[in-house]
Amino acid sequence: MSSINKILNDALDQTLLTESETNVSGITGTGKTGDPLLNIKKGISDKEAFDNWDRTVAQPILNKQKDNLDSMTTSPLILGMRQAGKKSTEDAKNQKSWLQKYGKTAGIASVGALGAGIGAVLLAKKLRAKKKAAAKKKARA
Amino acid sequence: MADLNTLMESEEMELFVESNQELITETTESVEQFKEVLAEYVVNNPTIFVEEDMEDMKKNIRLFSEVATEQFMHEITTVGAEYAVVVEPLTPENAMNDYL
Repeated sequence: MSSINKILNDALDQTLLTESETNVSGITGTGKTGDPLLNIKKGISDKEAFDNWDRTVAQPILNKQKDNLDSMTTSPLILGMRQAGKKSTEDAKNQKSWLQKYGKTAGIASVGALGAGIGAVLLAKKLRAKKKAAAKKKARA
Repeated sequence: MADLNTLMESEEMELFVESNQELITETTESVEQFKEVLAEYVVNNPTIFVEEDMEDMKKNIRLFSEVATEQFMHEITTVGAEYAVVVEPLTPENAMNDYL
């Protein structure tokens, strides 16, 4: 039974390796290899596998991750933080700490301001309802 | 109003604005961009503002915008003030020091 498993595993490994090699030669053609994990499985050292990894194969995935991160940082609630990040990359080493603190606080200020606004609206709604109820009561009497 | 104009046109104020130009610009930009935050919040959370009467709904949005903007300006200027460059007021004594 164990020998059958071994044969199946070996066959599976062989299939994966063949597929990987086919893909690499088909996509890159740079002499570098594709999936570093498969190469490690082949017996190549970790360092060598990652050094020889042709990243053009993984580039679309990395780009997608970058896009995801970019979309996360465009949230209006952290608008200040985004602004600060953008400015700090430009120059001014001495302003960096100010911008970092300022950016963070601007984000918190936005949330605080929205909270104050919501509170005011809810209070106004409550008062309006009270006013209406009082007017109704007066009309009945 | 005349006093305010005099203050705004004074040499100290000019110096203060010059020294804190970046801070003032950043704060103005933040306040300017805050309207986008407000608009997005109203669009994403309509239930808070909905009323039977359309006029009441408008009042809710207006109240929300005014209070939130005021609070935002207050908080942002408080933070900004900590980083402002303080300009020493020009008195006859320290003005003369430059020449002595």
